[in-house]
Amino acid sequence: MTSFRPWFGLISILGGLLALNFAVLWSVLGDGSSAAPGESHLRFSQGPEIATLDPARIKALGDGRIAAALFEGLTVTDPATLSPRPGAAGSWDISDDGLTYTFHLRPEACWSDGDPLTAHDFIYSWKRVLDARTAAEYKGMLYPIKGAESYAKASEAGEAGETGVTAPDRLPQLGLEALDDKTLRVTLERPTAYFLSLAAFSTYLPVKREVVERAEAGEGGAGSWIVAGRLIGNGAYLLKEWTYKSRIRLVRNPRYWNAGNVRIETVDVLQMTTDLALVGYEKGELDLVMALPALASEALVRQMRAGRRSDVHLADNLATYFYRLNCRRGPLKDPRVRRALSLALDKRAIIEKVGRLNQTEATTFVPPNLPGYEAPRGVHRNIDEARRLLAEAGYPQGRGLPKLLLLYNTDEGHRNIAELAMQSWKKELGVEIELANLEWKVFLEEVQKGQYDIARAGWYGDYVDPNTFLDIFMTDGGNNDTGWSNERYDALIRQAADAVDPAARNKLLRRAEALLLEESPIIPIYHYVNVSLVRPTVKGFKTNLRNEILFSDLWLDESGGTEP
Amino acid sequence: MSRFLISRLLWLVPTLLAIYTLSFLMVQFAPGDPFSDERGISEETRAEYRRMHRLDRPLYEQYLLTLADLATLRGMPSIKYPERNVIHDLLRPTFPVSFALGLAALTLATLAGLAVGAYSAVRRYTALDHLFTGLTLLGVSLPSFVLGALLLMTFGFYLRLLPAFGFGSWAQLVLPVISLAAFPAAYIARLTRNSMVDVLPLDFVRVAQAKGVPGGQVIVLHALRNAFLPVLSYLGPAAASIVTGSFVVERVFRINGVGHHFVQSALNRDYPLILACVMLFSTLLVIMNLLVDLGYALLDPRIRYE
Repeated sequence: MTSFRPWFGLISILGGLLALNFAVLWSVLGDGSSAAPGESHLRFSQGPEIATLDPARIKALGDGRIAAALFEGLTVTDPATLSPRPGAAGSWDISDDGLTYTFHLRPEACWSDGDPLTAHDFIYSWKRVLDARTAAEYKGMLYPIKGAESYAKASEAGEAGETGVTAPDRLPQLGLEALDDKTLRVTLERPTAYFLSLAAFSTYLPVKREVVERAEAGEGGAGSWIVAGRLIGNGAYLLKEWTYKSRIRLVRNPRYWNAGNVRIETVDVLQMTTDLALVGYEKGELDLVMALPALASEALVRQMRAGRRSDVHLADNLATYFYRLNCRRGPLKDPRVRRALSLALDKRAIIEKVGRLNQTEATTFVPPNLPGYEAPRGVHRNIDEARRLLAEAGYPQGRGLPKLLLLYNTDEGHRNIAELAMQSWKKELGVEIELANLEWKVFLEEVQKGQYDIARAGWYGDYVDPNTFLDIFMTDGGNNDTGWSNERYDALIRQAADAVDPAARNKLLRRAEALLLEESPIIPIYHYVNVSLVRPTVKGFKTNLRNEILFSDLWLDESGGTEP
Repeated sequence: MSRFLISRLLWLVPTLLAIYTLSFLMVQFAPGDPFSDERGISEETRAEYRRMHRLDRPLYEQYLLTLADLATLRGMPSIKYPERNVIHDLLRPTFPVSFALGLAALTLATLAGLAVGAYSAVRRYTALDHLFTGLTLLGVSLPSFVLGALLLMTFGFYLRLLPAFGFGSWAQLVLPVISLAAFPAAYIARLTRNSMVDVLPLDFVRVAQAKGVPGGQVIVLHALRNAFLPVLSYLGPAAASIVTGSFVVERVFRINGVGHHFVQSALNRDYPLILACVMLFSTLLVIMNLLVDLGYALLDPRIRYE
């Protein structure tokens, strides 16, 4: 049947394999399309992930940074001061009772396709955020606007019906009105001192109605307008190119009202893991890196402090690492036990041995030095007081206290901190702790279900005001998760929301935070910091509490020191 | 022969269907919610998300719709990246990378393993044979990510001979491919050596030698060709080990391949992406095994009529 053909069989199999190999490799490699750097070209990295650039859906700070280049809100957060400054709105009037804001859009403000930017654009965009179909997780940022919360709830209720669509006309009145094409009147639910800061937030950015609606009606679906060539924004930059998971290329928008002052022509946002970014920076392939690996950060900061590097920037962040205490079960129901744990914890040791970036010890929950806010006294380590409280609660030297479960999501840093906490509580108070690490999603589930005694947590403030930290712990707050409920606290937060006078408001918030710290449903541990690498040729970079950055504020100066 | 081929092809579908069903059920019953995050979301938002991703529909409907989306390659939106289609936007750009890597590793493993094994068998008990025996023992004992990390540190950082991370140039291929190929290569080498040791003393080899066929040809065309069968059988599991090894190796070398999506989607409970990845790899492996069977039939006339 077969004559003996020695070449058939093995040789052809191996030969075929080799040939296929080379063919595949040839087509996959040598594919690096690196455009020649133009005159002013910034290469930027902030980690590997970009979830979305749709302003209504943005949750991550990194995504917000890029969105801030593509779209411009009524106000813009100035990275140097973190105060709002005029953006798409050139000016505004605020009524005496603090409830009515009238924004005057710049006459020259327009979309990147040339169409003028109007007040209707903002109304549409904000309604879109509130519409249940958008499923915008941050829609709560719009709730200070009158009627916004009821609008959102009504929209959600409308979704339960079969027809699914509730016509906007039938929804309750929103405090939004276009007095004319260039004038937007916003009426608030209550005087919100930080509303101008909110107006700069990603969720408040405008999107172009025709573009979005065309996408939703078309084949690609609701997100298909967020690609290069289809995205229309009103920001300083255009989305020239987006190679998914590889690179976003932004180029200056010539139609931007302030294009004359935008000095960097091209910004490449390169998506890569933090260690790749570090290598890339050292090789001269990146100019500005805002997310770095933990170990490397430590070494860089040390070199900076020793005066050996001038391109390392360390910034305190508007964020706190803390432990939640489950107030619903066991001995932690007693605030004295909770306070004892809070007073006995050795936060210095945690920062020195684990954090190692000179983070600020957290004596309060709200990070320090917020403008206009005088922090309460805070929790300072006091072992004697801790022991006294524990004994008073009925557990002298920890006797009789059952083992407490400390949950954290799997991570070496969290584990080390948990171990240090366990040691200090055992040593100083005789309290026994059981550590358990869970995978992230399972961890979240357990915390939300209240299946823990102590749980690791972190919180990033959304805007520079204590309220973003303090309103979490109102009764039944969506992010409370501790079961702590205090009517006086709730009342203070609500009163602060209604206060017009900033001084009075800050006093109320201070009293609320003092109450929070005294009752100790949480133990603040330290405030986060962020380490960035900035090449000396990059000018205009300002560190700030929220790691915000505006590409349009930066420029490159090739003259001067070239040392990395 | 064609009956053999057709029957093997027909088995493809039930196998893949079984894998899909099992994965679909496992994914539904795993603890953890795809939409949970440090910041809680309201019940209404969660309900809307579930509606968007068809999770509010009855199980059998989800099963069939997702099956249809995957089989027709239409794909569906990822849960973590709802603006991206799992097949077109997430897997299509990354698959060629992983495929190239895996194929290169498989080829290297096969060729190197065969060469080393054949040499060891022919030059039995020489110093080189002992050396190879030691190396192959190391190869089957070291996990790919340990080897990867060691190679990375040595050649990428200390000696700085090769690029440490990334994918795109031929030089960047070297370390990851070696890391992936080491285990299968070692295994194949040992298989080949044993197999060759059995085959070399056989009559037909002596006949070929007596006929005056040059030594090299005897080894490769006659002996190796027959000794190759166990190695061929192993190529299916070898492909599987390369696929699973690639998850970690891609992470170690920061290569943007499918492995990253596979691992992350599981951690994120991104059901559509998980299922797409599972089906992608399963299809690949099932086809690989089919090819192995075909190769068997090609090589061994005795198997041709099953």
